Amino acid sequence: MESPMAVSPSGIELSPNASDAVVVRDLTKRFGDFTAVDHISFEVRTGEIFGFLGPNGSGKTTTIRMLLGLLRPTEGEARVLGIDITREPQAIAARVGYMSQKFSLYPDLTVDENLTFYGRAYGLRGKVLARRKDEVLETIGLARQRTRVTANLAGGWQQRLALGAAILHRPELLFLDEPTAGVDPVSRRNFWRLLYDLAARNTTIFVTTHYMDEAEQCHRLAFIHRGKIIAMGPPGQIKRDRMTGQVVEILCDRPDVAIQALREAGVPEVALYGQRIHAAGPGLEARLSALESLLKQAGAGPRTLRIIPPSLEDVFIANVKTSVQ
Amino acid sequence: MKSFSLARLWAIMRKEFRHILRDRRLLFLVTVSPAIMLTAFAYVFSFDLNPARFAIYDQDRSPQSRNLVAALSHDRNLIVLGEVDRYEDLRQGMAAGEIKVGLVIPPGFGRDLQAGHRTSVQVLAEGSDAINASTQMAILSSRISEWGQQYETLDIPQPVELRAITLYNPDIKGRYSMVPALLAIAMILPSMAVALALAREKELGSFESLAATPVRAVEYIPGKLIPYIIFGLISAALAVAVAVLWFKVPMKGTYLDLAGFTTLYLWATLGISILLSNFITNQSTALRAVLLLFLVPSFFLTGLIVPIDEQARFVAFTLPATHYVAINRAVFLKGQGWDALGMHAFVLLSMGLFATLFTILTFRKRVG
Repeated sequence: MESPMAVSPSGIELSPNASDAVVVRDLTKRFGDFTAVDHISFEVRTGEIFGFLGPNGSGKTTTIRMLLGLLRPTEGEARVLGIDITREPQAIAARVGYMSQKFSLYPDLTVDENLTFYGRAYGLRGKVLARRKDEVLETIGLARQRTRVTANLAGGWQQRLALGAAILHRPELLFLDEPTAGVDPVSRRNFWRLLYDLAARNTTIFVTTHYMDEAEQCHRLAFIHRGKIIAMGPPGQIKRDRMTGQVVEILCDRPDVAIQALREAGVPEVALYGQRIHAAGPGLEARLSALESLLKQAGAGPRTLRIIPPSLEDVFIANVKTSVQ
Repeated sequence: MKSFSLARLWAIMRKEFRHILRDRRLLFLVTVSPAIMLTAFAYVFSFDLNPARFAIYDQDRSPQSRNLVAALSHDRNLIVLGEVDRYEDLRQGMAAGEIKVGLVIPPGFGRDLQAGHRTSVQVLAEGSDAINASTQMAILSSRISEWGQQYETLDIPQPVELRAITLYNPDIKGRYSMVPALLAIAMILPSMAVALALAREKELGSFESLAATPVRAVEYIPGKLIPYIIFGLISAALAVAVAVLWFKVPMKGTYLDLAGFTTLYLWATLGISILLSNFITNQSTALRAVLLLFLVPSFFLTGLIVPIDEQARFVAFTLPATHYVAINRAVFLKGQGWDALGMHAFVLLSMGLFATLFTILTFRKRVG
């Protein structure tokens, strides 16, 4: 059974063409009774940054492992750079780069030794290897850390080194599985700058994340939830098309009281972001003054209520709810 | 198996050497630990350290039998716990674990010797501690034989017959046969190291990254195996040095033969260890698997301590250590080489080859 949510949204998707870096059709992976990935279909276009979003355990890593040829799909098919993942899984490795979720370089080797090893594993040697290492170290900004033991590098630097090891052989397609998990915001921003540079040089990037601010920076997104794709498209379009109603941002003295009052008044989505409440639902714009008096009555002490453009997070939460219902 | 790349194999090997040289635990396991283990075990299982503790049941009570008891009581290698008056006391003492070895001098012992006839004594041993019992029996037996020499004549070269298995000159020779055999146990340590290293690669997640590269099993497996065989040989050289220089075990064979046999043994044990590791994803399980499947059975089933039991013969045959114990004893003590030990060498070679091929063929870039 295929959920209607799993199909490409709103028919805006172009039909797959030969230049797509990744084409996935009804890809499914079951582990015993558990369906980790449930009939997903999507395309990744050459040269784009494709964001694959979803909470932990939603099937992101399983999908990547199938696309890398490391896991055999239970059903469905996929082509990566034109290679059938079930027929020639071995052929994928040489042409793609992969950065796994867990930091996976060798902690006891130095920066240079790790790059040398991965370079050789991809068949680089001699002068070519030396030149590529220099380039990559320059790109990731670790030229001065070259002789340091990897275990002693800060988290953000380790991530960049892992990216470096993945791009050493100049892959056409890069799979990044939560590359910035557990890294500080500044390092995350720097890391994304690197990704933009790579994309500008025509490397296709398939990146999973659960940071919404990162998702906003992708060219196109797919939301995956419980193994199914529940929304797909460019971030702006997803926000326009997939969000029914408006989001009201509320600042008040007693957020707890306000949340209670809003829920009792039947507002479909109420969530707290720091000090701000996001209330979402259809027709809220017209009820703005009614909401304000409601909050006054409840004693929440409302200060500002304004309509804001929905963030991806709002969209995601709204869509997860619909898909579960 | 297609598109094998020597460069990738070499890359794995170099990386592996670096890991070993930087990880003190691994380095310890694949260099000095076999020598240390060998030394410790050689002392634990030595036959000449503990004086035999035994009880005597003298049924004869003749001047000759009293003379034998007195002679044994004065021997500094024996501790005479006492004499008993009934056979039953001997049994009870053994059941309680107080007496390890009992000597029974039968009636007519003195009379027979006096008359120039051959006679016999019975040596009983408590079997639950087999090593200890056989050691003590051996010591006791040799002392009785020495004592019996005074009644020796041309007709009767051995006047006192022993109703027990006699190990010749156990003080020294025991260790001579033990040390080369213990080498087989000690040389399992490098395979423990390789199992740990493989499991660690999986724990760290490095294996997943490696799996996503074009590196293939046919490069990865030999790339792991070869550095460990090389380090294994270094550790074997150290352990053999300890055996020859410290324990003064005579080396009647050639070192070149021994190195060849050792390479086969390392290949077999490391190969099986890698095969097991294929199914293991964490270090503690890897350690337990090697201990339980390798070290423990090798100790008890390979003829190291007790002769190979008939029923365990098949199991023993499947353990590389069985063959290496036999090889080492033959090379060290008998000076035998490839001609005499070809069968054992062939079994080890088959094990190494089979384990490696099987690992490569069934190797999946398993990630979780």
